[in-house]
Amino acid sequence: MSLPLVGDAAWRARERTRRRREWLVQGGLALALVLVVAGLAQNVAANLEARQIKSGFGFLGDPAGFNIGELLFDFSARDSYLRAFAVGMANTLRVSLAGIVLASLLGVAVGVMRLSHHALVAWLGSAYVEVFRNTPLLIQLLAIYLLVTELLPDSSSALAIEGVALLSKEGLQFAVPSDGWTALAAAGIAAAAAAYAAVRVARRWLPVGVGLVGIGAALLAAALAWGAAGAFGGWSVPMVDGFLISGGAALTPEFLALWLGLSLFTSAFIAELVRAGALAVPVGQWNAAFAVGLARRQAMAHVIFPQALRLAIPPLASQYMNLIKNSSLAVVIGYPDLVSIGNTSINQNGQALEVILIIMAVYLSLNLVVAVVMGAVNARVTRAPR
Amino acid sequence: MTGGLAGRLRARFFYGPGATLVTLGFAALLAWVLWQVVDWGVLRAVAAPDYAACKAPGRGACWGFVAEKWRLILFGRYPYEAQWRPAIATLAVVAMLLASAWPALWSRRGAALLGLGWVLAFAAFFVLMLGGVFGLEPVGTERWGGLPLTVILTLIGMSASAPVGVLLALGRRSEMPLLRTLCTAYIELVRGVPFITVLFVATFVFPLVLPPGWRIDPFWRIVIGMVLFQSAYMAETVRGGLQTLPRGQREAGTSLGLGYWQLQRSIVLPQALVAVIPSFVNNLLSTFMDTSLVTVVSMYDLTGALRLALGDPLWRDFFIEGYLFIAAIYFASCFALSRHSQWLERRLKIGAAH
Repeated sequence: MSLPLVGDAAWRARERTRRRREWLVQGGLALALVLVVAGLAQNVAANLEARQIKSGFGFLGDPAGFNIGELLFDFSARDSYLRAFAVGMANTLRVSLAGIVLASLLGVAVGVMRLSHHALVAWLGSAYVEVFRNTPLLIQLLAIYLLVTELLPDSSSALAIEGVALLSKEGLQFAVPSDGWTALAAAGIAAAAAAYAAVRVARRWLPVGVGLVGIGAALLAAALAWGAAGAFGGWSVPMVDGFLISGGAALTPEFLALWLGLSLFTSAFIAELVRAGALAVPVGQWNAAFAVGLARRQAMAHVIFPQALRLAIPPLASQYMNLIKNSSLAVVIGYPDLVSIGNTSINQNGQALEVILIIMAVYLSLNLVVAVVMGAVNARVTRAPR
Repeated sequence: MTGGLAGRLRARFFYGPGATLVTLGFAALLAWVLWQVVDWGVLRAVAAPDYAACKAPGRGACWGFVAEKWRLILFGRYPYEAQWRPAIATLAVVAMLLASAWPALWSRRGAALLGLGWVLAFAAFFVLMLGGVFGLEPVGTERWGGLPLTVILTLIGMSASAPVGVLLALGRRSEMPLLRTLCTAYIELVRGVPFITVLFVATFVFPLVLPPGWRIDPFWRIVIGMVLFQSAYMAETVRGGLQTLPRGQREAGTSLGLGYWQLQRSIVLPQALVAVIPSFVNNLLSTFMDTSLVTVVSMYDLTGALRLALGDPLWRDFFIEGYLFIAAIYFASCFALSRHSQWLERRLKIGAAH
């Protein structure tokens, strides 16, 4: 190894010794690592043989042999483990996405409350944050789940908005257009068109919040298209028939409890981010903006808001990742997410190593997806000229 | 703005017609909620552990459930007549925690004293809890539960993951590529997966990697799992502290002829670790709340012990009172800790400005 010709001879000699030592340390480390891994692998093989547990991912093709209560697509006990894991992952994604949306809305609202001039409003905001941040999520989830399943009325006497929705121990049932897929497609197309149009118009008028206007327009258009599909194709309405509820779409009590619990818990952290972001922009920035002749709204749009957003987005990304990881608490209330399906299959076939590897791989990839999406958002936000 | 109480009230609550309206609306709402809570939780509540009285129509909260089951909730399945032992053991370690939170003891001598205190407190904890010496009845870790379990899992998790975290953080900043890659990969892998999966690894995989015929106690395998998990987060906390240190500090140390470990021990780590004390307290807080997850792998910590108590079909209906009871314990501890961490942060900032 050649060193650039700097320093005197003594320094170069010392440097050579140091490098040699570093290589020795790393060689030793690599050797130790290989030995430990090999030893552990041998133990695992011996233990698996003693317990007569198969190894490898071949079991994924076997019939799972259990049923899943909550489905986005068809599944029966005869289907394979692979399909069971897919169902679990779809359930994880569903509750995480719903949670991210609700947590962001609640979080921004509470964060704005905390920034209020009004002492009582600000106090209520901080009380909310302290309560949800300082009790374990697990306790919140268990308590909400028990509240839903114990205190709500039985399905035979459900709380009802006639013809629209039912709320009972069986969860929340609500009316949907009979032809669900057509309605969904119509809503999607309407939302995309409305968002495009709204953003084009809004960009001319608004210096800030164009994205929000677009999202609002998309939601409105989607709701309208959804309603129109129902009006033309007819509604499927939930009906109570003795103890059974038929018709409509349903959210199970497990989904409701997990969704609410995750959203409330995470929104407390998001509220803190919103507040910290707004407070972190120095007052001097306002003064400087006014000094160059910007109006209050312009200063907010071009000076304060971009900087606040720049500060808030990286920690927001990690809150979203936390929410996805926390959705694994589903296992305690019996919502069939990836982890609880993994748990069931470990109990059935004992192939813990493989199942845990699958679960970890899925969470790591989900984290990667969030990181990429939020990185793109961040790149857009920080693109503003400095 | 006028001075005095009236002036201040006016400036904060009644500074405009909208604000007045909001004040009145929220005040009415708060008063109503408060009245409902007092009515349910105090006026109509039943304090005696009397099931029939709790079930009577028109009664409010049934604190009788807590009165009946508090020993089970706080101490789990620990033998009933020996429960003074976990009580004293927990008090000993909590007292050490409070002493360590006191900045006057953060000198070199104070730290030595604290270290000694911690060793004694942990020793006392395990002697009292395990028994088998001094004529104490032996009690296996499988009977441990409730608050002592929650507290000891948190404290061992924290104290063992701190040194591992420091080593991982130093490794991540090392100039040796293999070491750096390994440490970074470990930290990011662990931080990318939920705590439950690490508990699953501890429960299902640890027994598999041991040589055939060896057994590992469920308590200790959960402890090891917690340490593996927490040390990744601790490493990131410590790395935050290492990054605040100006480059000149290290260069000054090197130019004095200090070797790597001398440099870390006498210059880098003392400054970096003091800088991250508030984040350290926040880590302690999240570890404390995370321990509630061990109920998933059948350990009866505070949350698990409550679920055990609610398993009694007679008292099942009073879950709200039960959850409020343990939520109050968690909330009081976490709120105090987070306030303390904020106070420390302000104090350190003032210290840094001088």
